[in-house]
Amino acid sequence: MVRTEEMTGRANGATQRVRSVYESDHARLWRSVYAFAGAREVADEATAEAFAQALRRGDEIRDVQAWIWRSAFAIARGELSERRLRGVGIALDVPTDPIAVAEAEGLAGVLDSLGALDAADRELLVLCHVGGWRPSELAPILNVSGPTLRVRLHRATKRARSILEGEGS
Amino acid sequence: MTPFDGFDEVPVPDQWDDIVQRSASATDPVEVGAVSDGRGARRGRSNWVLMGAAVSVLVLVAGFFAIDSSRTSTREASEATGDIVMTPTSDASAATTETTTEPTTPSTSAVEESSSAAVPCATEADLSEIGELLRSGQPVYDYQPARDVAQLVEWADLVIAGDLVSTQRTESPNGAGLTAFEISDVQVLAGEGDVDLIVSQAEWAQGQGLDPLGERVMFDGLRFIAFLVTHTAAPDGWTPLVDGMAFGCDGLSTPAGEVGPNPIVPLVDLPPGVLGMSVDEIAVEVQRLAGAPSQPSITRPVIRSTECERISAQEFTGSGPIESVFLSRDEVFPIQIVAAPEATAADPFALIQRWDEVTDEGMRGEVSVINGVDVAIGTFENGNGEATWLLSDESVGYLRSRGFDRTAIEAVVGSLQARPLDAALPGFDVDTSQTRFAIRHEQLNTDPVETFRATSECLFGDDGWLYRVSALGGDVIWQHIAIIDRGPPPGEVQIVGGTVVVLDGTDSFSIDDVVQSDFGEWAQLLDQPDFATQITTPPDVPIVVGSRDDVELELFDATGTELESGPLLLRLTEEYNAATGDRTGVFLEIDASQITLHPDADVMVTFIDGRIRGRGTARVGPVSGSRRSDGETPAPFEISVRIVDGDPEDLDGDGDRPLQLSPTIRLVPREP
Repeated sequence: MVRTEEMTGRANGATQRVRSVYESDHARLWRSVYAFAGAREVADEATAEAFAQALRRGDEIRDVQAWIWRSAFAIARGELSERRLRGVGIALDVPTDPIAVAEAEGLAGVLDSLGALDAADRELLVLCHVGGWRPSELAPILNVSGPTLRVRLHRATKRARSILEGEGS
Repeated sequence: MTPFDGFDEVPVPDQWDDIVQRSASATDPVEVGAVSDGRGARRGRSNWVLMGAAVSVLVLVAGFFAIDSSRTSTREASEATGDIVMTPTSDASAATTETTTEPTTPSTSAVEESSSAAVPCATEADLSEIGELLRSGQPVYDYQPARDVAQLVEWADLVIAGDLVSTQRTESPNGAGLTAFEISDVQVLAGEGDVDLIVSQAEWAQGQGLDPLGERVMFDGLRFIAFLVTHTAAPDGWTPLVDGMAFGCDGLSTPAGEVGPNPIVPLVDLPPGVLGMSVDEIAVEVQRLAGAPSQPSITRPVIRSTECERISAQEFTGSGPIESVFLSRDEVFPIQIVAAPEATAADPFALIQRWDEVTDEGMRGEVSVINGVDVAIGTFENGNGEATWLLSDESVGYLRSRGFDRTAIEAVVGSLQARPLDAALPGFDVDTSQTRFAIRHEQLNTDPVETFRATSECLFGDDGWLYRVSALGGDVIWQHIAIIDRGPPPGEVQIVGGTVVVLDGTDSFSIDDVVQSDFGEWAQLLDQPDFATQITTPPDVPIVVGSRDDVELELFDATGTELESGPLLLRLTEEYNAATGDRTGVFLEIDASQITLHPDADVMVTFIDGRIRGRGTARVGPVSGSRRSDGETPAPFEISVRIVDGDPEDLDGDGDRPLQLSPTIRLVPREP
């Protein structure tokens, strides 16, 4: 039996770990999911849910950062699948405030191009280029070997180049 | 700038409160990916309410689809692109097992991960993908391709086949980008040598994204064949010819007589007809061509004897048109080598050109009338010869020969028959009924050639006789040009392995004394300037700003009177701002207090960096100075002084008679 105070302590520790990852990773994770999904709502949902589930799991998670990143993208993939089933396209959300409008106009082309990519390619590219992950760091998060990831990333970049050329490169 | 930079500016909501609320509102962790569970209840309940019982069914169906789609997307990705990488086989059971601690995500299982560490080569698709990977970063080459496998064998120092273990991007010691190929089970097919590592020139610019070979990539079942040459920049000393490396999957081949996929892929290119051969088939062909073991080539030539002090080495490689042969000409002209059928570049030959007009030097030599045409012919003590004649269409024929006497030159010229000026190569044909010589090689000067020359210099004896030995590689026609278009003329020429070795100097050494230098010594020799540069470059002499240790600049008598002139004393002095203490100037002082002037001395002229910077009355004692900087440490500069019999007003010094001279030294100022 674990004593209550010990449980409380563990819970506080786990919360601190998640909070720490939130402080360091939330913004780039949200932006990565946004770039992957092309929709704020999906990014909101997937990111919040991933962190929330991490809080609920507490000490069960060994590597909180890796778990949250994997989870967020898994949730986003699921969300996108559901949207397709419901007939909701992967379209840029229509913003209202001026800053969002300008942002939308600037990124509309990129998001459109990303949306044309295969999901696996899109995920790899945004993880590296928006999430800022190096392949050597990303490989253990995705549970693949470094060389495998590099080969996949190389192919994804090559397939994406013709689509993404002219979008500010 | 990348297309993704704009995402850095996208505003991100603060979700922590929402996150905490979410974590508190549910009691059990949900399987990630089952999008309808829980989240549906929290988020979009109202979306489903109106649909009643049918919604419940849809929720279940959507949940299953969500699980399956995460696998499907990856599977589709792998199938659509023909991934070499093992695709994940995540299934429901695996997903369930991971739920309690890890989310269900498409990922390789532990079993598969070990096999995906090495990229397998088993199918044509595998090979194609591997080829793309290996070719990443390769530069665009402008080179003379080999005619066939036989020419590759001729050009290569070593031909090997084996297994490609891994590849990775690396750098040479001088920072040049390379792709390194780790090999094993090496079989030597031609030549001699031990090879564990091959490198090829490569660069991966940052703007291209992440380098696919930035980390080591291992292979399983990948064979290679390589036609190698030595290269001092290569870590193990070997690099393939541009069109001399190819890869194939072990066991992948098209049965004889059938049409099938190419069993090999090149690193850059391959000679015609080779692409349809497997690695093993090429290996068999190489062994057939190689025949008896040949003499190893010399590509880092040095004279064996320790009595000849090795002082420098130079190496030149190139690929491109022939810019000049004897003289630079702004026209397209043919270059033809005429020699005996069995001759090599070391044997007598004639190099023939046809120009639009005669050179400024005109037609040199004694005229012989050959076939009714005046031909000016000259022969020289060094064994070279030349002939010039005017053709009926007013073009000019020019011949330069090595090892031909006048009679032989006359015979060659007499056998030449001019081709039409609009011929593809408007040179000459040889009437072989007139001579045993034949056209052995020919091309236009605008046709590219591969060139390689490695030269070392050594000083022999007390008098320091300079010996120079060169190894010439590359295209045969260029080798002939390099032998004959040189000064001094070659003392001895010999074919050693696949290179032509040329020795310049007196007769104390022969080509039998030329050996292959080891990499370490060769690299050190390459760092040294050549002999001509060494003797004409002023030595660096440090000089400390503000120091009382003067630098002595000796004066030497230039009139033969053996006058002991003594040294000028050089020093750098400082000027300071009394109010601020800042140093405001550094001056060069030339102190003539210790010299003895020539009786006729009128003017002392100071040269700095080759220009007259001071001209004044020559006197013993006074100190002359010039500002070298406004306070900062002066840059190095060259200085020399002349004491002359001349007019101080003659600023150019045209009428000066040199009396006492100093050498030129390069002062290198430094702070104490």
